[in-house]
Amino acid sequence: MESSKLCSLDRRRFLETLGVGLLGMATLATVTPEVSFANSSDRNAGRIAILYDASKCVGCHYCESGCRNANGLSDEVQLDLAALPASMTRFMRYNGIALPKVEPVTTDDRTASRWLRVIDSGAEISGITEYLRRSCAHCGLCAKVCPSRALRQRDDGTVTVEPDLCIGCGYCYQACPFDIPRYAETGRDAAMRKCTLCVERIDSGAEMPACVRVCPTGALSFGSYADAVVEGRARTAELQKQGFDTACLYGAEELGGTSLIYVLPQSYEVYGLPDLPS
Amino acid sequence: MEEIALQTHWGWQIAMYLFLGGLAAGTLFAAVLIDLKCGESMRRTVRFAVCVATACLIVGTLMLVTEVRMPLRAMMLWRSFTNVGSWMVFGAWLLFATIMVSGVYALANIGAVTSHLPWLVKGRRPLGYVLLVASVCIAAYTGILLSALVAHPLWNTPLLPVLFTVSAADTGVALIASHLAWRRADDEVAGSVSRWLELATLVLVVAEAVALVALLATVSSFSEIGALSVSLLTHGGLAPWFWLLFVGCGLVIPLAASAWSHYQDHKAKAAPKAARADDVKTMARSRRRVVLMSGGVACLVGGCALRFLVLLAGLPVWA
Repeated sequence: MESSKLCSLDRRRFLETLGVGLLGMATLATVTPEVSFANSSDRNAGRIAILYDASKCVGCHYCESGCRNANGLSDEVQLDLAALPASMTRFMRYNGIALPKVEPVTTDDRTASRWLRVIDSGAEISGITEYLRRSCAHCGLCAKVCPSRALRQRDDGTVTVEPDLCIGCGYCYQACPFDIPRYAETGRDAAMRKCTLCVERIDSGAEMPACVRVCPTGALSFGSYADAVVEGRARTAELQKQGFDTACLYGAEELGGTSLIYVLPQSYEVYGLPDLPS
Repeated sequence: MEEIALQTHWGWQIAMYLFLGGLAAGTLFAAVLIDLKCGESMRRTVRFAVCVATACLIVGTLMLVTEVRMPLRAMMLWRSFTNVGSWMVFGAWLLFATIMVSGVYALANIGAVTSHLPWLVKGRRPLGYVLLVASVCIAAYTGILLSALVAHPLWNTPLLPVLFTVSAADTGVALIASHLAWRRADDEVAGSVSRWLELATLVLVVAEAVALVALLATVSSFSEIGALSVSLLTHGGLAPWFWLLFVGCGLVIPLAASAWSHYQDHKAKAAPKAARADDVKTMARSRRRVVLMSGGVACLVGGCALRFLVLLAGLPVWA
């Protein structure tokens, strides 16, 4: 008997049902996940941050060396002595630190054991190269999607990595708007690795991340997110007053605020940084 | 156009995972509806569809496991899928639960099993309702997994789950329609179901085309990288595949096959009784069978191509 019911269902009613079903599915899909960056002031209340002033960066790669030493990373870093201020070069010469000049780093060749890179961004002002720091901004998007909680965002905004929990699904890589996650290729440690803002060192009493500590020109500073934003805005205004009209602060508003805030003498697009929602 | 690096971090396994998840969801949804409406007269088709859907879910999940770098660790669901805020966790548990339920539902459709476990027959209806909800969730999830990623403008739109859901329904309907045509099911109920499925294909293909146009238009107008992704599909390196496999096989052929078959039905009804000689009917039927099967297979090829193309063209904002 049921079969005759089936046959008797007329076309109009069938189409109506299908239409309602499709509409329902569409409605269901439209209430799906938009990442919300609301309440960013609460979110950033306890956040710590690095302020990177690109106008003071000389591209010496000393921060990379500090990162490698502090975190026991294996990839070699070569310092560019010619990029250092003369006084610093002099200090190194008389203290047995003699390293060759390297070719400019134009490709962002970060790996699972090289978490930080300062690259020639390709932007220039009056023929002089603009440098750009590439490392994790601790925006937290990866921690939101990481299925195994190998990535977690602490109350101070820092995203830490627990390699033993990582399953290597690559969801964090796809979620990251800065191309940060890198995976060790083989072995038990084939997990995702990235900058952790030296939180272990900070938790055990260090005043600042290793990269900030070794920066010879003051391009890097470390403190609360709020202080970094105030300081960054003041510096940006100063640069604009000097005639760099497109100078901007990047990372303070983007994605609700990150822990790596850039002072850039030119527009962020010139440096190849992505346009992100605030 | 300058050389653009495609998104290859997630490879073919994830594309297959999304396709098989969608195909299973669409097939389960249509099969349960047919079971609820037709009961015993369509048991064979329902059994086939549910078994295929369960197999697709299992193979799809294995695809995800083989894509990850540490598959053994990933297989410990209770340890590795714990972040309730992650859509991948929602999907992993949803797939796991659905495999269980649809496995039981498949058993409840096998006579040799139900003769030993007659209580399974009573469980069919409630299990069917659970599967209806689960299949809609899986179909939408395959799109949501990608649309939750802010870093990929082509993916980060609510229209992607809509497109994937409609495509899932489309491929599921195509699979069952092809099966009916394959086994020459031409009794009264099977014929009626077959005509329904043709009609559903017509509506779903049009809905899919509308969702696709809306997605491409919004994505390309909202961001530069989004526009680049869309141009890759429409006139860039992926264009031949997009037009041939997705638009051609996935939309045009199924639409034409269903429309033609529908027209034949209409013509047969309108024809005078004298013209409905048995040999003419048989010829028309066999031609119709070939057309419907071709439409169904083309639809499956198109659905699979859609997942591959969307994955490959999903350029990140830092590209």
